[in-house]
Amino acid sequence: MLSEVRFEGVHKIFGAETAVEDLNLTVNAGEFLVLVGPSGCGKTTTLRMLAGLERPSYGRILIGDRLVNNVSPRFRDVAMVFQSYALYPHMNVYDNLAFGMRARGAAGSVVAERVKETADVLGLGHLLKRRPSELSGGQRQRVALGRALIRQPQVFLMDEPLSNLDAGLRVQMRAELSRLHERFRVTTLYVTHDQVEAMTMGDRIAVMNLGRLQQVDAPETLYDNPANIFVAGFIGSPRMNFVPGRLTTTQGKTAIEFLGVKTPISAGSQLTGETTGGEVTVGLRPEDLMWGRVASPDSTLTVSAEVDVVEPMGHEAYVTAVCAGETVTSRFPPRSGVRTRERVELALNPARLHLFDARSGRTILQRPVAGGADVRRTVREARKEEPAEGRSDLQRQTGARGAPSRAEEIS
Amino acid sequence: MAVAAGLGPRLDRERFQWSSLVMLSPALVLLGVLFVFPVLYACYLGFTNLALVGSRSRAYDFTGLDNITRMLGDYVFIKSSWLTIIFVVGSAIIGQTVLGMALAILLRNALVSVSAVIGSIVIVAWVLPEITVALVWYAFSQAGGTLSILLRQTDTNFLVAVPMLIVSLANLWRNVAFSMLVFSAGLRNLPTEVLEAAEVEGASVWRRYRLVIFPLLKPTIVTNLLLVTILNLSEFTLIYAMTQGGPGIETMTLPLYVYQEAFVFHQLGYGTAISLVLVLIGAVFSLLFVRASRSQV
Ligand SMILES: Nc1ncnc2c1ncn2[C@@H]1O[C@H](COP(=O)(O)OP(=O)(O)OP(=O)(O)O)[C@@H](O)[C@H]1O
Ligand SMILES: [Mg+2]
Repeated sequence: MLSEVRFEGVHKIFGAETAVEDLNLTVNAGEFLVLVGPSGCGKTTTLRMLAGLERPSYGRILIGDRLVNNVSPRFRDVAMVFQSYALYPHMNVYDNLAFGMRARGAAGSVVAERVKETADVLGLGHLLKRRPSELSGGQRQRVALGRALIRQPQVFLMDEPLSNLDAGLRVQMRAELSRLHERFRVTTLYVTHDQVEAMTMGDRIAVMNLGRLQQVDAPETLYDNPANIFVAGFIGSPRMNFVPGRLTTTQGKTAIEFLGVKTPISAGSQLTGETTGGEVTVGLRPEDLMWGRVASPDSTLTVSAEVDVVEPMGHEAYVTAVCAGETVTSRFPPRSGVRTRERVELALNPARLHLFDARSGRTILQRPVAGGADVRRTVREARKEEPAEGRSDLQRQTGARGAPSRAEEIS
Repeated sequence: MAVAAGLGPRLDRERFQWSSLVMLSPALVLLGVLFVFPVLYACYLGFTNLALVGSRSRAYDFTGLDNITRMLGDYVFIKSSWLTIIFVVGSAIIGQTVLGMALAILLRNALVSVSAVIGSIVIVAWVLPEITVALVWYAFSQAGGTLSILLRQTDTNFLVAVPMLIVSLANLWRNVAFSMLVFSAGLRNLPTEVLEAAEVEGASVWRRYRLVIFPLLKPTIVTNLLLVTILNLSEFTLIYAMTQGGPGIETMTLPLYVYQEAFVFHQLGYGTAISLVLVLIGAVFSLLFVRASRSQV
């Protein structure tokens, strides 16, 4: 059963605080929508309104064609993973998992079977007799997840369901959730603070800030064409560099001046907005700002910078450098040997610049989708094609945790 | 076990700090003088023929099991014990707990304004002096009183017709606020999201109460039962003011009987023995509750 979810002009106001402001969002039937945003931006409030635990101050919420504003949570047929887990403290894991099915009148044998299945998938098989207080944080979180997964609701609401798991287990659970979603296609609203989860799991990502929806788009689009400075800075790690720049027009041609260099707007990109007095903010992703010595041929612009901090990550290094008075971060290959205070050449591809109006923060440049996004898409597709492998991995997983999957590596 | 071999004594075992005795000694002395000694002495007196006045008040003897034997043959004592149990079970355990819980639940779900008004009314009944409550209910249940008018039986004195019921109701009316307050606090402290989770999972109201709320409230319920039982077991003022144990001995609960034996008939030794039985009944109830709270869950 596929149901779409619609928020129409939804506000939620707590006293003097507006937690969610004019939310217009449609989650398509069967879609996996990831909701991201800084702490306190209204993600949990949004989920709670959809679950019926919070009544919207204004606006309409629809599940399928049904207006649910006044429908009790009991009859909305959604399953929710609470950020705080909210396990029943007086019940053991088995009863926690079984509660929802029993409440809906499932037969004992069906319940037992489903509990066993779910517990196995989540690696909880040996913990069924324990109470929540006797579990570790990650184990509790998996019970919370299992309590939702055991049901077949119209909508899944997951509030950071993997935040407390170790890296290996997180990769497995991520794969498992994606696999389950592939199979049952239940409309899902998924909150996370994890960039990798957002980029790899979501059909689309919705970015919120200060209670307002900033942008909803496919992960690649969001990454390549962020609608404003907030989204640009929020998506991608390390963060996008922002430096001040100026737009100048000479003989009908527009050029950008920043970091002491000047470059024309590249072919294929087009200016979509006016700026106030030519003042712009230029956005540069760290991977587009390369070490001169290893730069690709199309990185035609070079600037000189003084290295400030080198952070080796193993497979690469983040180098923070000062360039024309601005601090920028760049991705270097591992063991590059650069040191603090050393002068280095940084090269960048003018086609990969982002431009934002300095005042409003809105993007003024439409760029073609290309480059890094392809990699991402390939990985996402590859993952979807290998459900069988992902599964056997999980079934072996009690105890030994699998090696990081390919999805992990793109982080 | 095997792992621990050869590592010497455990470092994390509980240790007794002798110095703590110094700090505790004033409290221990006070407890001993004001509590332990009187209790033990009362136990002893329960096995004597001490009288309130006369020669036995000075020269009393240890009479062994005489008082116990006398009790077993004492019709009034047996009846009185039953009345006490009926009073405690009916008025305190069932009435006060069930009604208190019902009120707490209703108030929790009511609008703030409504619950504030009703809550205060209930608490006023609790704040009234017992003697006032006794008078109010005495008047209420007389022939021609409000109750008889309501039931259209103006010539029935309900305090004579169903004395135990009226006394129990009066007690319930007065004390229900206590349980209500205890349960309200308990309900307020329940983890909100756990209850919300149950709701999202599709559990009906009844199911949520039965499988989530009541089990989580169990410690509160047990505490309430213990307190309420102990308080009601020794209830004297209200009943005495309304009926003096009558008509006949229809409302002669143990505290009233103790009073009668000890201070009206001057049989201090026998009265003490009966009060020991009262203590015993309280202990049995407490044990039952603690047991019940530990089993299952
Ligand atoms: N019941 C409430 N009463 C008052 N303010 C609230 C209430 N619930 C949430 N808020 C406020 O609404 C805002 C959004 O809260 P919300 O829990 O939705 O944030 P969030 O995006 O889930 O954050 P996090 O990532 O930290 O979980 C916060 O500023 C919070 O203080
Ligand atoms: Mg939250």
